[in-house]
Amino acid sequence: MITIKELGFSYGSNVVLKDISLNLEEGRIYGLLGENGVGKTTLLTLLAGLKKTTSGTIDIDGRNPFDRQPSLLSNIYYLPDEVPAPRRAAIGFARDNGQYWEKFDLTKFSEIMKVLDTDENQRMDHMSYGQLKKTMISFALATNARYMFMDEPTNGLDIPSKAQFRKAVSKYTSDESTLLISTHQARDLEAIIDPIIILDRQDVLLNASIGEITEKLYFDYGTEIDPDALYSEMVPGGCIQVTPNPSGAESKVNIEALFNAVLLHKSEIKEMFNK
Amino acid sequence: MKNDVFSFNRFSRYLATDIRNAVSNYGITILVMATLGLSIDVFTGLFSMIVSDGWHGMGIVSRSVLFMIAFLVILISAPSKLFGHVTDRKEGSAFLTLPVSTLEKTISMVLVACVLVPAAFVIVYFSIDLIVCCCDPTCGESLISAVATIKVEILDKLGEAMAELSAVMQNPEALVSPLLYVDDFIQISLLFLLGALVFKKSKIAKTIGCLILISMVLSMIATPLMMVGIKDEMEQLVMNNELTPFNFPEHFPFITWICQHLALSDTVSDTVMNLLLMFFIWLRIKKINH
Repeated sequence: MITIKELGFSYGSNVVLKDISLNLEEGRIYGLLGENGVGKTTLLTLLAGLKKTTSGTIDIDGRNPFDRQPSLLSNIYYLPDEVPAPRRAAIGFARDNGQYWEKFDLTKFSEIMKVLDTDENQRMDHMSYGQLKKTMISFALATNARYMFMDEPTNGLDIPSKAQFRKAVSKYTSDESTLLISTHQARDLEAIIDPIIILDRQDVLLNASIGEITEKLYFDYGTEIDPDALYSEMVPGGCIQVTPNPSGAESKVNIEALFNAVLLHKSEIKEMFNK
Repeated sequence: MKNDVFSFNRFSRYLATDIRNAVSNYGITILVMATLGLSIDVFTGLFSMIVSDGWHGMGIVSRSVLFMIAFLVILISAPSKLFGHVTDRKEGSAFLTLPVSTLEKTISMVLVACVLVPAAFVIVYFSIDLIVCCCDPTCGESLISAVATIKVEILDKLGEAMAELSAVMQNPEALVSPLLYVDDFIQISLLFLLGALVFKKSKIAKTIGCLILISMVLSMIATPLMMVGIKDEMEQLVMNNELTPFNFPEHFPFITWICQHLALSDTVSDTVMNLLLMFFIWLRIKKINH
C-alpha cells in the first residue's frame, strides 16, 4: 500500500507539487494523466526514492522510499522515459541486474522479450530506442516487483509494439503488483489502466476507478451535441461527449474525453467524485 | 528481514558486477596505458638505431618517470570514467534504484576505482616492463626490482643527512618504503572519485580546481595556527641564524614527536583523511537526487 500525504516538492522556488494526497492500492494498474509540467515524472521519481520530498510524506509499506533500503527497492521498479543503454547483451544485463530483485524471473524476461519481438542476445547499445524500451519493459515486468512506476512506457514504440505492450502488461503483471503508468498517450493504455489519476498543478483532480467514473459520468458516442455536456468533441461520424450520469447508465470510458472534461470542470468534477 | 545496511552475499555479487563493468568499460584503457612504456621504449630504441648505430632502450629513470605519469593518469581518470555516470539522470537513476545498500555501493566503488583498477594497472605495467627487460639487454633494471631496491638507494643518497635525521627519528627506513605511499595513491583516487560524484561535467578539471582552492584556503588558515606559540621563538632563532632543518625538532617538542614518528603520523593522518573522503562519498550517494 502506498500512502502519499500532503506531498510537496519544488525545484528551488519553482513549486511543482503541493499538498498532494493519494492512496494507491495493491493489485491495480493506475493511469497517471496530466498536462505537461504538472509533475507526473516528479511524482514517479519521488515514489522511486530518487528525490527527497520538500514537505509531506510518502509511505510505501511503512517505509520512506528516499531511504533506499534494499529490501524496499527490491519491491520497486522504476522505468524512466529515457533509459540507459548498457554495453552488453540484454540477457546478460537481465541476469546480472535481476539478481537484486527478490522475485526476478529470467525465464519470464525471455518470454516477454519474445512477446515484444526483441532479441535478447542483441547488445543493448546497438538497439534502437524502441527495442531498448521494450527490453527495459521486459526487465521491469520480470522483476515481479510489487510496485512498478512507468514513465511514458509507450513513447518510442511503434504501433504493433504498443499492442504487444498492452498484452505483456495484462499477461505478465502479477495480481499483487501495483502499476502506476504515466502517459500522454491515453489511447495506448485505455484497455489496461484502472483506476485513473488526473494530476493538475498542485492538485489531484481525479482518482477513481473506471467503475466509479462510469457511474458518475456518461460517455455519449452519438450524433447530437448536448448543450449541457461537460465536454464535447466532433469526431468523424458523430461526436463524443461527457455528461453527468444521474441515471447510472452504462457507457465506455473515453480517456481523452474524460481528461478534457476534467480539465474544463475541475471543481465540479472534484466535488462530484468526493461525494 | 533482510539486512538493509550490509549483506556480504549481496555485496560480493555487486562487487563482481562492478568488476565486470570495469573490465568492459576500462580494461582497454588499462592495457593501452600499461603498454605506454613499451611503445616509447620501442620508439626510443628505433630512434637510437638511426642516430647511433645501436639499440638503446629507455633507462630506469625515464621508465620510472613515465610509469609515474601513466599511473597518475589512471588514478585521476579511472573514477570519473567508471562511476561518473552516477550524476547522469538516466544512468544515475538506474544506479540509485538498484536494490543494493548505499554502504555496499560505496565500498564496491572505492575498491574498484581506488584499489583494484590501479593495482591491475601496476601489475600489467610492471609485467610488461619485466618482459621488456628480459628481452632487451640495454634495459637495465626492471621497475619491479627498482621498487625493491629504491629504499636502499635513497638511504645511501641521503647519506649523512639521513644519519643526522636518524638520530631523532625512529625507524627512518619506513619513510622511504614504497608501502608508505600506497595510502597517498588511494587518497588521490578517492579525491577524484568524490569529484566524479559531485560534478556533473568537467569532473577532473573541476576537482583539480577545487583542490587548488582548498589548498590555498587551508594554507592561509593553517600557517597562522601552526605558528601560535612558536612564532616568537622561531623568529629569534632565525634572526640568530641558529635554525637548521636538523635542529628544528629539538626546539619544538611537538614537531620533534611528529618527526620521531613520521611514518606513523603520516599513515594515521592519511587513514583519517581517506576515511573522511569515503564518508563523503557515502553521503553523496545517499543524498543524491535525480
